[in-house]
Amino acid sequence: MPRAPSSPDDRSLEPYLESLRALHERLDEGLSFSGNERNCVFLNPGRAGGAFANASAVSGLDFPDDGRGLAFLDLEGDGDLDVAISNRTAPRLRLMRNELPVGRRFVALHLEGDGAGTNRDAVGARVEVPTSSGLLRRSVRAGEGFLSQSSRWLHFGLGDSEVSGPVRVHWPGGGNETFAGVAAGGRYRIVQGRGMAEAPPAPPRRTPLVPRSQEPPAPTTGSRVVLAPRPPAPSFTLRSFDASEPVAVEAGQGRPVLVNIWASWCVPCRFELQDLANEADALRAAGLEIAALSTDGMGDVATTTEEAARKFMDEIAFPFLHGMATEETLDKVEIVKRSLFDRRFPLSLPFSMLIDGEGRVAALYRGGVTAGDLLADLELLDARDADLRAASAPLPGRWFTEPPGEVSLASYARWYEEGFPEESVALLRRSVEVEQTRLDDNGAASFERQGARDRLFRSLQRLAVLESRRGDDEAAARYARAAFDLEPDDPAARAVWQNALLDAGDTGSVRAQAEAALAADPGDVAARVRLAELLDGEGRTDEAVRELGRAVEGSPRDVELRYLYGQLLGKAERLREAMEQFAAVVTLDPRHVEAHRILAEAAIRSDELGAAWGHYRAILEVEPRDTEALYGAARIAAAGDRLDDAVEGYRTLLSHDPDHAAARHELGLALIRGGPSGAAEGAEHLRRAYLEDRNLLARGNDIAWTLATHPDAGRRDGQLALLIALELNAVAGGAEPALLETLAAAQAETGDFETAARTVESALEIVGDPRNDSPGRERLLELLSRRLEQYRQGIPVRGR
Amino acid sequence: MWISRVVVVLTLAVVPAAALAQSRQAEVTPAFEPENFAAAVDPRADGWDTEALSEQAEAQLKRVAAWLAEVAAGRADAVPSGDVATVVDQAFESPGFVPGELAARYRGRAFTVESGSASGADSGYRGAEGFRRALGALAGRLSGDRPPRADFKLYSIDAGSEGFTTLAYFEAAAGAGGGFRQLNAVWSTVWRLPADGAGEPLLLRVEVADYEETSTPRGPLFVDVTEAAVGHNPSYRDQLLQPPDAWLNRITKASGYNKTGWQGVSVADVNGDGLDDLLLPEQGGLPNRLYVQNREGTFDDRSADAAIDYLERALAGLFVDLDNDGDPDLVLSSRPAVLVLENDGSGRFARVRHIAGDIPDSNSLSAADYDNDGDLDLYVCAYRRAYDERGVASPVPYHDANNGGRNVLLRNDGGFRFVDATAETGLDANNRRFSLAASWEDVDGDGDRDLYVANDYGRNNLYRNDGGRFVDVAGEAGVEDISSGMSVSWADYNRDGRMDVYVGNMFSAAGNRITYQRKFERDRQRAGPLAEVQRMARGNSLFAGASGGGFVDRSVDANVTMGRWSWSSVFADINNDGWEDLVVANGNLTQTLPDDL
Repeated sequence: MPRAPSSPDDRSLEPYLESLRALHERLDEGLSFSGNERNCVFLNPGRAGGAFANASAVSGLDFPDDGRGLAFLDLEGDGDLDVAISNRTAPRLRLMRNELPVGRRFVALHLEGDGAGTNRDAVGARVEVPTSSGLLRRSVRAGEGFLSQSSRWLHFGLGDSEVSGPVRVHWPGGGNETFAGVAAGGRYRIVQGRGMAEAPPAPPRRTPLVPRSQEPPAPTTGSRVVLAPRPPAPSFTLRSFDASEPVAVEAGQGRPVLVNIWASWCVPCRFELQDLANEADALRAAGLEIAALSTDGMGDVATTTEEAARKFMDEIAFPFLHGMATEETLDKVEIVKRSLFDRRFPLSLPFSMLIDGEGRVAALYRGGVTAGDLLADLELLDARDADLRAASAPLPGRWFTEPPGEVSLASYARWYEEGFPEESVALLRRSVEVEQTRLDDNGAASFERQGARDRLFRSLQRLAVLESRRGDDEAAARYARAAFDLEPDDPAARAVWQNALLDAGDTGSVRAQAEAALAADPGDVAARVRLAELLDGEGRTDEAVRELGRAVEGSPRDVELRYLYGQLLGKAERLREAMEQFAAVVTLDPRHVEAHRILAEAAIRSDELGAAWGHYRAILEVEPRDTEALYGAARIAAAGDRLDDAVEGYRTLLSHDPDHAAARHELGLALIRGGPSGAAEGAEHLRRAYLEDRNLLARGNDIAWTLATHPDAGRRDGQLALLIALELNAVAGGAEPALLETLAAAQAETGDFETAARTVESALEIVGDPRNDSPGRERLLELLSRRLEQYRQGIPVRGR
Repeated sequence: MWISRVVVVLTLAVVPAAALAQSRQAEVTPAFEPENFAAAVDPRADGWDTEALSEQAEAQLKRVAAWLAEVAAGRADAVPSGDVATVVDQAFESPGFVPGELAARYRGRAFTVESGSASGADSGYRGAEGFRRALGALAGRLSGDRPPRADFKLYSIDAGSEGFTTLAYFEAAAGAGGGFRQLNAVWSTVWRLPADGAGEPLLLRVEVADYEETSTPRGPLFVDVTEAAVGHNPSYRDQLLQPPDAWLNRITKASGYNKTGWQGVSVADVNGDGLDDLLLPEQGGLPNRLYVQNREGTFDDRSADAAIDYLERALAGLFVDLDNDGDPDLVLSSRPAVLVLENDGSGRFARVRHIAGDIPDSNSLSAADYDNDGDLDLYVCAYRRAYDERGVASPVPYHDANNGGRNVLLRNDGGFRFVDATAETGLDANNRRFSLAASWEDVDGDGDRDLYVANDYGRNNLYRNDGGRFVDVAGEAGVEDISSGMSVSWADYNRDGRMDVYVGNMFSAAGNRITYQRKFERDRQRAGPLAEVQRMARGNSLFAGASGGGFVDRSVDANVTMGRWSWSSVFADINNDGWEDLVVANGNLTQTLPDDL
């Protein structure tokens, strides 16, 4: 039984969360997601009425830039609204000038409050401008749209009308005031208490801005990234040329190491290594060790071999550690990249990581790094945090936070979870220590302590999950408990803790919690479901049913709760009531496929084919290609002699799933039953079905036998039986006596006793073969002999 | 785990020219091969059957769009008959794609809007030849001297056993005689499935609804003057023109650079010279930019002088005079805190006056004097709880999540002292809803500012202000708008004297199709009641103020839902006719690989 479904950390949510994670993975790889969309403009038709008109393209604003912010302003003070658009992609900014021929068809107002009753910005003031075509209203606002703020100037388009009187302002501090002196085509200051609009000096005349399309450059691929703070480096391995076992690259042992990934076919790599070799003395003097790891023969571009790598290293007499990269090392390089950046680019060569003496990644180099650059970056290793941070930013600027001394280890740990869980657990344990210390530091800023608290919470929760995966349920429960203690009001934290307790076998505590929750709030669905789960787990299914029943009473429209209740009733073998719940589920949500499925199966079992058909149709409404529903509905149609419907159903099914042999078999039968026009095609399907699934031979044989021998003449059909039997024997190569016997019965039923007799003879031949020692051989021989006699006398078989 | 794909970087600094020439030929492999991911994004792999059909149908429609552009550009022979047969069924029979007559329903100085009905006009287009004639007539509306553009966006599918019907938005644009014209319509298209289940679906019939043409007498209404205005600043090239991929392998996530790119833009006159200036908040690792307008009408980068060039991730700036001294101070929605910076009157913001550290995931900012005491108070939207890194507490349930970050009302107590007044004013009700935007307006005309909050993953809030105490009345006012709220804008668009609100949401064509096609049902877990989940993908909403403080949903009548994946979605009278139009900035993630579903 699934666990408390209303808690945000429910395990039943895993598929949902998993699909979110999967989506993010794909986005990291560069997938677009509702991208390539163009900004929209909808034109208000005003007095003409009707819907807004789409003016996106003709507005000139419909760029596919992943637009975010919009801020309107009158750039040149010429009486129309220009707009600044901020974008996610390049160009980050579009300053779009309105080309409207304005003339005097506008009024612009700049409101100023008195700073006493009304704020100076006059935010909240409502302005009414009377015009010959009616009143225009605007409010002064600070912040609208998304992440945006437009100019404080209020802009009024006038169309063909004139300003017909004084402007009225409702000040937010209270009180209305009218302002005289406003006319079309003007820009005015409206100062609270002055009663008269004031025209500020006109903006300076200037050269108009020349429109031009913006051309973002292609991003460069190479980069040097100084990391501040430094993330933990994983352990790397290399394999010496010709050696079979990998060895660890000694890093974090007090001296810096450059881990370099290269290949002999990569020209920039060769230049880089040559340069490092030439400057070996200087680099050594600066304390640097280098490990150059070749990827020759690895990956997709495996055009060269280890030998080529060794040859090049010999040529340049590379004086540092070198050898072959291992898959493990490349996996970990990938993890380092992924953990650092929000976008996953393929590994490009050459690629290097500078690891400091404490085993942390100090810098990354995509593309070649020169010895000169390295020497400069080695100097940075001991730099102050603030200087390091400055070196890490691509463009200069300032910070308001203190430079973090150490990274959030928790956020790196999860990257190692999948492939290297031990590294992950070690990182999380260190994280718990570090963040606890930060949290306990009373001198730290409140948001920094909050951050530490959040990271501590996350670390504890992850440790709980990982320990549980490693089978240490006690440790898992301990960590989950610690996380819960940090966030006692968080239902997710509670759910994780309870799940961990259950895994550790401590049902008593969970029950006590659930009961306490229910005592406080009898309508707590999550707690009641949890209680039911516990009871069910103890085999007290009836009591569990009772609890869920109460929950359903309290939340009668909760579809999934009812579905759960139905399942539990089913488990308690209270099938009728279970079905009532599933029926209620589909009444509440007619597209609940799973409930329809259960109801359809139940209906078939109680031979209510009409009801079952209805449920299958409902499933097909939701999922027109659902195999089970198509097959079920078609079989019901066939049973009701609605052969055309059946044929259509089977055909649809087969068009999605051509390997569904049972459906093909039924299609063949339905076609043959439908009359001579479908016989040939039907036979074809039967043969194909038998070939694809030999198990169908038995079913075909049963059907053919029944058709050939049914005591009720109305249900006998010799021709049909013959067609099926012929296909059966064609597929079986005429080597199965049981199939031959059916064929003979069909032939006899059609009146062809002579052939029937010959068929039985060949069956006798097979069974009579002395090498045949199958059990029941004697009885079969006897039966076949009897049949032979019967057919020779012209008597068909009846019944069995 | 390691993607076995190795690519050479041409690092010019270390590669002599001769070697470069050689290496270009020998060693450069494509940086990315979409095929690797084709399998991963194949909806069929997940059992999204109708999604697979949708993709096929949309691909076919896009071929039609490409032909249309060719024919409109006078290259009718660029559409070979053999190709037509791979899109159009032999039994194709359809009315025309263009109305027989167009009537102007709006005429203004900037725009003219003409519409007409295409259905039933003429049913005589049969077979491939008929299709060509119908296409030719449509292309006739697009002839001109600018290269035409045409596209379809499929948003609904109804599949049967032998065929299926799709609904798609049709959009095309072209320039002629100095003017500019766009076509919009909805194509309802009947498709035949190929008999053997393999191959592409074929067009049987097209019915065109909502056909409309919007045109301008000259070129487009807006032109891009960014380069002329800010191009002389080094930051234009170094920062504004750099695409995200330039930074995504250069600035770490920990420094605050991510793909999502939630950065807005703010306008204010920071130095009191009467000219509006521009603030661009920036991602982590990049400095915020302040461009100050000079007397020549261009903008100078004053980010460093103004001391706003913070490198922590910022999302939004709000310029408001918080101390009533006549200059705009700056509130900066940043990470891990919200900053309040005092303007010294000359456009310098050297003094940090307040740090609101308990709002770690802030985004949109807005201000109003909610308690009418004469100074401006701040409202900060917050999206997630701090620890919610992907996964731990993702929005649940999807259609009505209340496990997000906590928005905060900061009451201005003077002297740049701010107090969290959220709880005491009642704003903590329904306050964990993944908020993305908020805006203030006196909805009920009682003299205090009410607050509308747009929330992702579910219901929005309309907090009615009753003298400084707030009550969430979104439900009774009819503006809960169960959807993915991202933007709020107020205006009296119908000039009836009551304020109306436009809410930016996500119109997801894929979302629309998926939520109406129910493999989703099984996957959604407790996604929520069907109607609500479907409503999530409808798109933007327009609520017209009604008497008694309520609202009427005019979104569909006004045809303003289809803003696509909308962010800022705001009213603005762009053509000065006295009626507020709507402008929508949209698009979620445009990257190197093709789009999602």
